[in-house]
Amino acid sequence: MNIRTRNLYACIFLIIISLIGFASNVIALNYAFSFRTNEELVWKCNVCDNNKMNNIFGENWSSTGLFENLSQGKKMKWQVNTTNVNSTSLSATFNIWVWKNEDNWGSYDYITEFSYSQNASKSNLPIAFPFVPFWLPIPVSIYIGELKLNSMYDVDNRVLPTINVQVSKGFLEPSFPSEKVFIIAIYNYDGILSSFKLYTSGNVVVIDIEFESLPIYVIPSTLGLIGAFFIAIIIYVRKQTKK
Amino acid sequence: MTLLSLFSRIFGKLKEFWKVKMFRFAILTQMIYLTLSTILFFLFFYQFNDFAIFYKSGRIFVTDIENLYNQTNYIWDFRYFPLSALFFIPFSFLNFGLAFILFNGLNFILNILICLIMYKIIKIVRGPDHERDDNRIIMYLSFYLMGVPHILNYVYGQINLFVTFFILTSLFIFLFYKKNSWQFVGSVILGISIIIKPTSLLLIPFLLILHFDLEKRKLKIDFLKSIIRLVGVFLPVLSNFVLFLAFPKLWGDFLSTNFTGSNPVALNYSFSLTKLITNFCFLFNIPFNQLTILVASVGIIGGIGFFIFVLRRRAQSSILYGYSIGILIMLLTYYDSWNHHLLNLTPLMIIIIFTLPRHSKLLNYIKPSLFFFNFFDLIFVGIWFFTYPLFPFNFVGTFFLFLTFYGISKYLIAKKMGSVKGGDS
Repeated sequence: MNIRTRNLYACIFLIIISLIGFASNVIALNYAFSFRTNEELVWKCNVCDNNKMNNIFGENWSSTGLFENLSQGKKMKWQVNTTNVNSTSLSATFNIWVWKNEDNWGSYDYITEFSYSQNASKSNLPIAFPFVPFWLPIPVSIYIGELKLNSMYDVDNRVLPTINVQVSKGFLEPSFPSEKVFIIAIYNYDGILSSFKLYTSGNVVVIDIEFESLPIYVIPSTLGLIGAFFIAIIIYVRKQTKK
Repeated sequence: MTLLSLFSRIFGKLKEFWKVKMFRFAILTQMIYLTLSTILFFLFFYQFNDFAIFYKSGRIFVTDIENLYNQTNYIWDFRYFPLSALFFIPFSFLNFGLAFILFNGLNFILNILICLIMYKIIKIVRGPDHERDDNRIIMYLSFYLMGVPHILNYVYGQINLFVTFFILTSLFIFLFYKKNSWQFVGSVILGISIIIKPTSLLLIPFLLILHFDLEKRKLKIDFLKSIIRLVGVFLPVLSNFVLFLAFPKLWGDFLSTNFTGSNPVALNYSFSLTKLITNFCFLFNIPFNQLTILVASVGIIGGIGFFIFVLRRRAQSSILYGYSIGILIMLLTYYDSWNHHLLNLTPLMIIIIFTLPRHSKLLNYIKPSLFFFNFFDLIFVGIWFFTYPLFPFNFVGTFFLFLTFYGISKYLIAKKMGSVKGGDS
């Protein structure tokens, strides 16, 4: 290959690379829902230290909103009512049954609409209790990464889509919260809140809420992994002993 | 030796390697990894990779150094020493896509250089009962190049190969040049690897030439060489403190990012023991302090590793074993030990295989671990995503790290070589 031809190839290569780089900068992403109309989402509360919550947030923390009547062992159900996606926003209305003990849900307590901008940097998270949403548009990792958040939020979307919140003492009202609290909210890849934990100092869990339905593959995968590991160890040790 | 003759020797050696079919296959594998990572980068990971952080850090270092640890500038936390950003300044002036491709091209060249350094080291430390031709060495070098951890290293635009290159270069110097001036050079090079990424930070204690002779019950220490090595390694590391002194905000931000930030409590698939413990505490709502767990893990595992190193009965190539223990301690104890970090460990394991007796029983610990790290660990990262709601523990990698740690420890402190040799040798 002579020098001129080589230089020509090198130039073509560099131009292609630059074009690819430029093209990648202008690709726009459309966010979407993972759920369908009438789909039901149920969360259960594994831990709720009501006395501690009363001390931290005052007596009224569970009188309204998404934590209304929250206590340990109760469940909350959302049913997807309508969904609407267009080029600028996503919105969905849900029939919401707030925290109950019994499995007989009865009629819903509220109809609530939630909406997000397609431009994630224009969406905000609630700077009020519970500080994190129960669902987010998908791909959730990218969406939370694009959010322009208050300094109390820290997004970790490297492995699991996670929002960490650090709420300073007296942030909501002069006396509430009465001490610094931390929230870790983990979302599944469908954008549904899969784990919500509220910690006080010393990483003591005061509230632990988790999404109830596990994907079908979780139990067989876990049993398969542990089983296969021990079988492999037993086979290997036997082989070595025979040698 | 002129630069030209060095290049001609390198190309001569690579030509020799190229004659072996497996090496050609390994290079082809590397090419596939490179192409795959470039495609994945442009399609999915354009802004979601580690290189995006390094790239930005280079620019911020030049334009707004006080905000180097302001995490709002990055998609993920920038945690490294401030001087590490220096390495990325040249890239930060290029188009991002082009910079990524050039950076990975450099990673590929580093892989070839790593193979050459490994080859040089193995040729000299190789045990007397090993084959005299180079075929087996080239086979293991090919295994290294085919290693699956390279995929994520390329996809993320990671800097592990720089660390490995500097670790192996310093190891080469320590093994073959005994003069004090070379001890200084070797440790400075190790210090540079720490600047790039603190993965090799826990190698520092193993620079001490300290040995307790169990038979004579006598502690031997080479003060002068130890001091020279410590000065050499701390010189580049402490040069970061010039920046910390000049910009006090940097120091506070560096500490909070690395030791008190919220990141360490998040659930992830790191195979470090510390992460398995914090994941356990997270799952079962056990109150925990991640820094305490880190300090306790480093104290216990690091302490055991260091004592075994000091009490060693084998003097030959002890620095190689010290380095290996140091990396193992880091991988076992730091919060985030990812699949691509294994590229710092596998070259050392390959060299160890050639220093052990050819049919040593200890290979039963080292070899399976090497093959697990090199080919299978990534599968368990995938499995973690299936099991994490119930079982968020990527424990198999941890098991093999402990197995390697045990194998090396046994080699160092076993009384008779018979107990570490196989029956046929």
